[in-house]
Amino acid sequence: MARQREFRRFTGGDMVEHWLMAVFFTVLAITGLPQMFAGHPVAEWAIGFLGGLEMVRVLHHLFGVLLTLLTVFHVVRVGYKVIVLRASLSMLPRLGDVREFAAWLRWALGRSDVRPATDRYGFEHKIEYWALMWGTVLMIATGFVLLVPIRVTSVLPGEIIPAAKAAHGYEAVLAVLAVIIWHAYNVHVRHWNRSMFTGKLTEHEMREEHPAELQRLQAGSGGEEEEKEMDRNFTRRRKLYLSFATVFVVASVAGMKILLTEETAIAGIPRIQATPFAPADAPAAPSMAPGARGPAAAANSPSRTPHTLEGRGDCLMCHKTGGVKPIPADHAGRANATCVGCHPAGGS
Amino acid sequence: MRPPAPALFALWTAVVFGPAPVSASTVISHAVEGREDCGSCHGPGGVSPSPADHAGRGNETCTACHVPRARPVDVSGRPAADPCLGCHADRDLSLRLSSGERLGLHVDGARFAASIHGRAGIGCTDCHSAFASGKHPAVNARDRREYALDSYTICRKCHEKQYTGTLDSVHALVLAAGNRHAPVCTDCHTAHEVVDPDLPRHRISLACGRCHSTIVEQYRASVHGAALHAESNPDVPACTDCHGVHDIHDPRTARFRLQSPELCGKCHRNQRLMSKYGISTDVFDTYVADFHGTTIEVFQRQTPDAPSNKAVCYDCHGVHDIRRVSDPDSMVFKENMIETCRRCHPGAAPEFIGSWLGHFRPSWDRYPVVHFVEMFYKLAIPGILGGMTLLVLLDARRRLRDRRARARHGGRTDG
Repeated sequence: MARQREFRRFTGGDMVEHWLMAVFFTVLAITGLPQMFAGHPVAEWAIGFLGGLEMVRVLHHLFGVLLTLLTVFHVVRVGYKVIVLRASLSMLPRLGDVREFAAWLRWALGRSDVRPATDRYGFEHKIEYWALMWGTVLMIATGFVLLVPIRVTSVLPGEIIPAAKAAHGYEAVLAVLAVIIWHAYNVHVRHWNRSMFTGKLTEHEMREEHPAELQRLQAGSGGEEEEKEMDRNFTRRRKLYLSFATVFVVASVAGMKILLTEETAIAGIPRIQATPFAPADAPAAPSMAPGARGPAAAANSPSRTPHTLEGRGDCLMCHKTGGVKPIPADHAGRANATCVGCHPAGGS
Repeated sequence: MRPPAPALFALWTAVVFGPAPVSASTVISHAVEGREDCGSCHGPGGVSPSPADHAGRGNETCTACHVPRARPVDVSGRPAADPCLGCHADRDLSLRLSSGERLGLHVDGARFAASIHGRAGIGCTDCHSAFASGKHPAVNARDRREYALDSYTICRKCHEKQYTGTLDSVHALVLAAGNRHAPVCTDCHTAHEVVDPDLPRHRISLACGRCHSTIVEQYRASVHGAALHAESNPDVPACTDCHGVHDIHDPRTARFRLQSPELCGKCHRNQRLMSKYGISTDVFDTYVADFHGTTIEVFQRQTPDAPSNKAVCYDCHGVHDIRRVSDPDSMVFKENMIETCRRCHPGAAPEFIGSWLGHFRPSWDRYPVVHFVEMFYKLAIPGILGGMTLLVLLDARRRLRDRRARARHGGRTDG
């Protein structure tokens, strides 16, 4: 089978931009959505898998910055194409898109058998591009608001912060699902489109997907020749644009750097004033049996024997009832043998 | 005349051990009525002969030392019949320890009788079992604290679960690290006057306050402590409700910090309890929905020992000095709030407090911008995605129909 004629759809730059965007978008979704849905087992698994919440946040912030840089690059690149190279504004929505959509709807509903001939960018491409543009700008804006809440609330009302948080999260859900539904269907399901890998479409694919563009190219009115026409102002325009672009890029990066240096919160844990050990009553060592221990009512204390026992073994000789020093009444009947059990002998 | 052998022994112990150790004698395990002739059983060769050193002692001396076991000790406060109190009722009875400190040996019989153990009929030697043999073992403790630290494991005999619980506690860790102030059983419960620790409940904070006086002081001024001490309110937490009873963990760990919102949530998520005081039970869920709470909850589940500085309940509301949010002294009272935020967010402008939703769910009345964003996306997400899905399905349907049609006619005509 003869090799089909191929048409260039994307340049290397387009493809690099696309794939960087795809990687950044995916990483941001993977590191962002689990934060929004923390508490769900799948989200928590993802957070754990990625190395914990702090790691997820670092990755999310890093790729957020990368996406911002990519967006700045995209704006500069589109500006160069449009202003310097005088490329046609083929992605801008115009009234024809509405007519094209209406024609597509009639076809889809079976009211017509003619599918509208799509040019380089049809309504489905424009919807996707501008949804992505709008979403990215919104995500960058709300993302930076969340990243530097102290700076933001020094000029704007505090409610901006939770509003930005809500918008950032919901917009993310919208963007991810929109990509899954719209992008996946249009370039993967309805027809497997390889142009973002190869940069090219075959003539057959062009007839299917971009018949109007194919017709234009084959008629030779594609503008390739026209663009090569010498433009006296080209060099001056390019010089001027590149200086503006440099200022824009430097300002963006510098602005981002200033924003990123906010110290939102202290690094440690707020100190709590507490003295753990502060005994209510000195001495600190709690007593064996807390409670009343008044001074010395010696009522029940067995007195010590105030004399030695030498030659005085028969206690009862003196301490019997009616003796010289009688024993108390409740000691009645106690024999010599038991005395020193309670009344130890005293000093010599 | 030579004094009898037991007297000599007593003399010897008195010289060697100093004044105190008074020999305690076993309690007679039966009633004495009808059994007055002790020697018939306890004489040499009897059923239960007395020790050799008792040789020659007549019946009349036995009960001087051995008294019938006192059973349920008299609650009225009369001197208990327990023979130990014969000596230990003496308020001055004490033992000089090698440090020079005197170990008080006094036991208040009436207080003991009124204690939870006294009322249960538990006698001295049930705990002091080493004394049941009839002799006082030597005291090796050098000071009173050492004696307490040597003795508290006695409680384990009956209270194994509580004892084991304390082994995991911060108090046990501190003790193991060599801090002799760390409390043991008897420091909180007393040794001889143990009563129900929570009757009334504020007894708990008083017990903790013996060592943690400044904290308990703060607590008593808090909304919880005031209600406990002034009104005996049964709903407010006492120390042990948050810190645990015997396995009291160190509240300064990352783990405790991460678990603390759940701790507050134990009561503050309880609809029945909170409705009594008109407090919203949304506080926990709204906290978790916010950046601080989300982080803390994820940390708590995934890395319960990893430190996180995201605010927990007590960072804003206070630890022991929690006050009503309407109290002008509260850390979260409107005028005080920015200062509270600045404890973690030093550079915050006054508008910064507006970024915290104050535990409210956004509505048209409160935080209308946030509410608008939420409402917008709740319509936009299903609207946009639904629209896209519809367009995709319409496109797919038409293409499938065309393909089928081509397949049907494919044999005849080339479409």
